[in-house]
Amino acid sequence: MRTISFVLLLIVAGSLAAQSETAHSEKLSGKQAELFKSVSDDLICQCGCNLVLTQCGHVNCPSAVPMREKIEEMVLAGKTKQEMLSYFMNEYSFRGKPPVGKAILSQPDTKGFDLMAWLMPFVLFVVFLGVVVYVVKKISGRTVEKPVAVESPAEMDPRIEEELKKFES
Amino acid sequence: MNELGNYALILAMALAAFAALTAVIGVRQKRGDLILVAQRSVYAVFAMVVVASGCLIYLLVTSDMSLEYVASYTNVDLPVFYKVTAFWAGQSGSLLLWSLVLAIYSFAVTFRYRHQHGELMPYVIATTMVTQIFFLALNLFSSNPFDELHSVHADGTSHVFMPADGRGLNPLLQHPAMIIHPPTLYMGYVGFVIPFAFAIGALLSGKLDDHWIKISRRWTLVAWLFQSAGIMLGGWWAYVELGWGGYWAWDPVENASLMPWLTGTAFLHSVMIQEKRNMFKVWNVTLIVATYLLCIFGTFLTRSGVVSSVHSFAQGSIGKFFMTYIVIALCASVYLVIHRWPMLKNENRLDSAISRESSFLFNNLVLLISCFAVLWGTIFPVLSEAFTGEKIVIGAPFFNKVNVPIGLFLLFLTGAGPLFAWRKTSLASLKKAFLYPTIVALAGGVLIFFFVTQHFYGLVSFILTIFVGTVIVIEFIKGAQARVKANAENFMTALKNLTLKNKRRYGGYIVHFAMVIIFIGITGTIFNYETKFEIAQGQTTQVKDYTIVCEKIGFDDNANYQSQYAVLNVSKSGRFLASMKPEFRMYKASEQPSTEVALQKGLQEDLYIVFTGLDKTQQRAVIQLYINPLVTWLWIGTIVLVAGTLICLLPNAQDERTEIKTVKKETIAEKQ
Repeated sequence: MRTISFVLLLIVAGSLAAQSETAHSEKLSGKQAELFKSVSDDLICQCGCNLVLTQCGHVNCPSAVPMREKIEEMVLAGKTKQEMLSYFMNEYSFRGKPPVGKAILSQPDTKGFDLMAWLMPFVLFVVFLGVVVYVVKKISGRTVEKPVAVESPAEMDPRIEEELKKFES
Repeated sequence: MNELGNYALILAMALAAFAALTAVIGVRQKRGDLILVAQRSVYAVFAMVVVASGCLIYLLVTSDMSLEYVASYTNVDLPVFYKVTAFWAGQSGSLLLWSLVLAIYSFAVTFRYRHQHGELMPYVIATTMVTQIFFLALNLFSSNPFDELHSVHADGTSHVFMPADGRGLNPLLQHPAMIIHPPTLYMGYVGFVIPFAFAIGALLSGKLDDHWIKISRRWTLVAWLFQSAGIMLGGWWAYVELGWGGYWAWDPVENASLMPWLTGTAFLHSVMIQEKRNMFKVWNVTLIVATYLLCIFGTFLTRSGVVSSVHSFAQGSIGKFFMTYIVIALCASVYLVIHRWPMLKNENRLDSAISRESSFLFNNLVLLISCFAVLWGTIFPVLSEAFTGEKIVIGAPFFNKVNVPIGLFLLFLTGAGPLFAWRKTSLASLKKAFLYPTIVALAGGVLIFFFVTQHFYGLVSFILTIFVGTVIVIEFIKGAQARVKANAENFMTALKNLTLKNKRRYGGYIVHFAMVIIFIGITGTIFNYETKFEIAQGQTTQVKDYTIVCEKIGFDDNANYQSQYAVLNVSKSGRFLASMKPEFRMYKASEQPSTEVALQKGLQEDLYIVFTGLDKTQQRAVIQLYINPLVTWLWIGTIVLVAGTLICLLPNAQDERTEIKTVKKETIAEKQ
């Protein structure tokens, strides 16, 4: 009985999973497929994996499957990328919850506090570069190397020399 | 058995505290007997952690379902193989793995230098043991793998509860890569504790010349090697198991492994300046402290659930322990650096801004910026929520936009760095050195532009890989030719001898060459192609050059899972390529579905097929197909990287002589 119920579960799961593709279907033409991919890259799957929609490989994912279906539907309906992203931010509901706004996007905004996400690496690069240039200037100059004291063989312990000879032979 | 494991952990923690204490008192009071006690305590800690780990493995293999950990991550019918790997499937087991790996490293380093570096080693022991105490404490007080399952009865009494079967191992973890990927990565993370311990030892003892760097260089390389291999193995696992056709998703946990790798790489380069010129001492100490903290922070990210991730286990109050430890370790390190500031001053000056030293500084700058960009993107959602109250997510597109240009610049430095001489490089010699590689790279770039791709980053990446590859090949040829002239050797012998006579330099070039190969693999993503189709038994479909015939759609059953699969006979341009069998599995214990990718690897491209199930009529297999060019070069590059690093790790005769001298001198000094 357990086996039969499990086979049924496998078939149902398999049928559901068949729709959980990360790729688009054959219905989309070349440019439509590119748009599908581009929108999928800009959205985060809402199942909790926090991965970009393109990357969520969860079988039967309750979020990725309907999201991909919706994108395909909108691409076929001739919607622009911005229209689609706007729909997912403001209208898309996962499991009856209210839309999550920009939390569904995979990249931070380019205004307000989120702008910091984009700017900081470059600001820090400039700051670090300034520090490196300052340090290089500060410590630059001809080096007067101290003469290196060379240990003459006579000063070395004869036992070490013996050991070295053994090692090298 | 679980009690034995628990007692072993308690004893290990007590012994670690004892080792740290006796080591510090021993070195302060110059008492060799106490230092010997400390060394033996380290061996005992190792033994106790091995016993605890052995107990957990025994309990997993024998399916003792009274243990919460065993019941959560295994089931009776799980193959023994995966029962063992369930050791690191959950939080408490992973933390025990940390302790085990650290115990191995501590044992190895203590035993290796039991008669050497008398002023440094006690502090090294103390530092490693403090880290050990922290992780053992986490196991004992926050996340214990030996905790039993309890059921509370109506009368309020609690009894040990043993379920008939466990929940099973996550299907994604039932993959051969999971045997080797986590331990390898942990060997990397934990390995960086050793150079950190030497740095702390140098700060505490005041021996701040390049001595600690020379001793810890190999340990750093070992850690770096494991970290690199662990990261790439993780990529390989993601590629063959997760079924989305890629290998790197910029997941917070992936990022956590990359950050210490970046700072560790910076450290490996900048220590050369201290060794050669006695400069940048503060910088080197800072880098290894940062690497250590990032290793702890990485484990914190994985285990605290502070940032959502497919890898993380958001459980308990473990995050507070980590944050407290990180803050204490940071403060102590900063205090020590400030305390020793006068001794950390440069002993030489930089002769010229155009020199190898400057190029290393620049390389460090770029590596650190890359590390910061990854860290920033990883923690920014937490900051954004704290400051604005709005939740945001940062995914792969952000990391790609920020890190791709940085990565390409690093690739350029990989080639340009070796063209600069130590101390000073004249512009004329620099021009000469850059000439041929630049001509070859630009010529290659023109051909690629017209015949392969006009994708901007793709083109830049290919040009840079040609540039760096040419630089390295020229270095080998020039060196070998010099040996041919001087020693009358044939070219191949000269090439071999050249590498073996200066393993560090030429091993390093091989590692750089590996990076070139890895970049070729990464650049291949610009050509990726994906599609989805349905196919019935006996049908044929065409995808680009591939002809796919569905020979069979079948069903399979075993104790662990049931599966549906398709047998697809694939030909390319009319030539039979392979019979591929992608599967869709349903695991019995966990009742979780999973896909098993069918992969046909090739130097030119991979054919990656996922069977996602049957269509509504139950007659047609739904197939996702990816064509991923150049991915194999990523794995080839990893093998070359491992080989190059192993060459760097081989001892030079000079090192052996120096070591014998040191041991003998210290032994003589002890006797006197």
